[in-house]
Amino acid sequence: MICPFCNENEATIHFTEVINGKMEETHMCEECAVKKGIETSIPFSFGDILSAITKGIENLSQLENENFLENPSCSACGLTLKDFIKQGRLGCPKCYDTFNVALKDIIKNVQKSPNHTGKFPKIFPRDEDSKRRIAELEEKLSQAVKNEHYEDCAVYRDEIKRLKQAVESN
Amino acid sequence: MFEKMISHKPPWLVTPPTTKPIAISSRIRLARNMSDIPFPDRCTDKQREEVILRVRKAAKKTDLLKNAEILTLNSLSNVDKQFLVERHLVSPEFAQQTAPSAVIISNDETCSLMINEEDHIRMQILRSELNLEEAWEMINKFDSELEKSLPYAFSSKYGYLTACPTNVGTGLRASTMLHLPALVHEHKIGSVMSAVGKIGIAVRGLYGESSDSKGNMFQISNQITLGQDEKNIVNQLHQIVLRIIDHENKLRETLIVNKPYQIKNDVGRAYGTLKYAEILTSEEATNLLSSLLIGADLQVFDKVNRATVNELLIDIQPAHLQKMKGKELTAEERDIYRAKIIRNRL
Repeated sequence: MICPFCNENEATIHFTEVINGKMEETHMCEECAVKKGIETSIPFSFGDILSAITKGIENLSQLENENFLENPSCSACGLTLKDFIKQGRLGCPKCYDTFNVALKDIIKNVQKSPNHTGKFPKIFPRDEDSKRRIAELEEKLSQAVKNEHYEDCAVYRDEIKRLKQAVESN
Repeated sequence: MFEKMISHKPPWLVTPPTTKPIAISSRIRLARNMSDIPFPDRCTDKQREEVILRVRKAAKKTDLLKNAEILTLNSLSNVDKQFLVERHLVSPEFAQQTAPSAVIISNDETCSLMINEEDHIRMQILRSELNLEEAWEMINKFDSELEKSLPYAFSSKYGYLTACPTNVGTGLRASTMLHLPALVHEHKIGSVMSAVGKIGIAVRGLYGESSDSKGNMFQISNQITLGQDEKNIVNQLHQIVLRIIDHENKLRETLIVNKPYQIKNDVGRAYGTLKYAEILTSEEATNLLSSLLIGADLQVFDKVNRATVNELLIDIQPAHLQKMKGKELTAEERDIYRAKIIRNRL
């Protein structure tokens, strides 16, 4: 079926509206659907992720005035925020710490909640790792308190609490 | 290995002759990474080789893959790679890679594990019909065996760490392949797509990311991987699939009551074309075979059985044809060979 609006493309969008109990069906191509502002995208396309990343960067740029795209780069793999925007992928596990601020917004946009509630590997958290991580987080927490970054404080406190519980249950 | 795969149909396609499943198959995949090596995109070739070595060693210790064959990507021809894509054992992105990568496939094709795709590990379990919970139990056990010998990248906040934040957390993508001819015929598929889209479930055409579908086949999958545990994700998808199946069934019943001649006409014409055509493209053949499936399901056409049609849907794909013929074929040659195979089997 050819799209009746442009008479050019194949009509791949089939749009059903119910107005006053009367059902009306409209068929059109994707281009015309976009022009008419009809939502055709599947959730969380690459575009959504990109726009989420951009939002994250705006937030980040308020914190870091210059060179925020090149600096910080990940100390483990060298990835910069610029690389991440270009590829849509992180470089290594450490990137989740390095780009914490930008990632928080991205994850808020594409996921249900920012905290993992599923499976834990049996050997994790190893007590040693956890204790080291707790110490790290406590350091970050005191920095955040000092700088009055209260949103971050809550995040660090939550993770410290969870880790301490895990250590105790081990 | 390929010879065996060609002569057998994949077990996930085999269903008892009495069932008329709208859900063709179910799949669960998990994404995992090593904590001490960068994600594949930023790995050197040497690091990628090391990942292959480690994962291979770990897989040898698991029940599912202890006797499985490992295929390194550079040892495969383009047709081999395409064959694995058509068989749903590797992703199209994986098949296009050039850096060191490998795949381990269980002998019965139920389990496959891609090494160095977007993440170090992408493992999947494929089952026939709607069997998501069973697939989850199998892959959960397999993953727990692997984790004994692999240091997974994991954080207590974000869960399993993945190259793309859209997979972080559980790293789990559950999907079901559905045959939805009545919803397509009655132009209801768009509203299904937008309704489930609002709750973080995606509907895609069978092959790839676009919403276009070949043969009225759709893949329904979860998009959210963080903030919900695995059982919840799997159960939610299961419930949604059940509702879609219910819609499809109701529409089928209405169609057969209201438009019996139109349905029989569609099925009969599809059979006629398939039975006598000399040239068939993959798209045309897939769409016509879908009509035969609905004919078999609605019992309005008794000249074909479902199993034959199901097998044909797999066998008429380009790389399958070339594997059966034993040589590379041009697009025109494939269309002629495809028509011949279909004529013979019907």
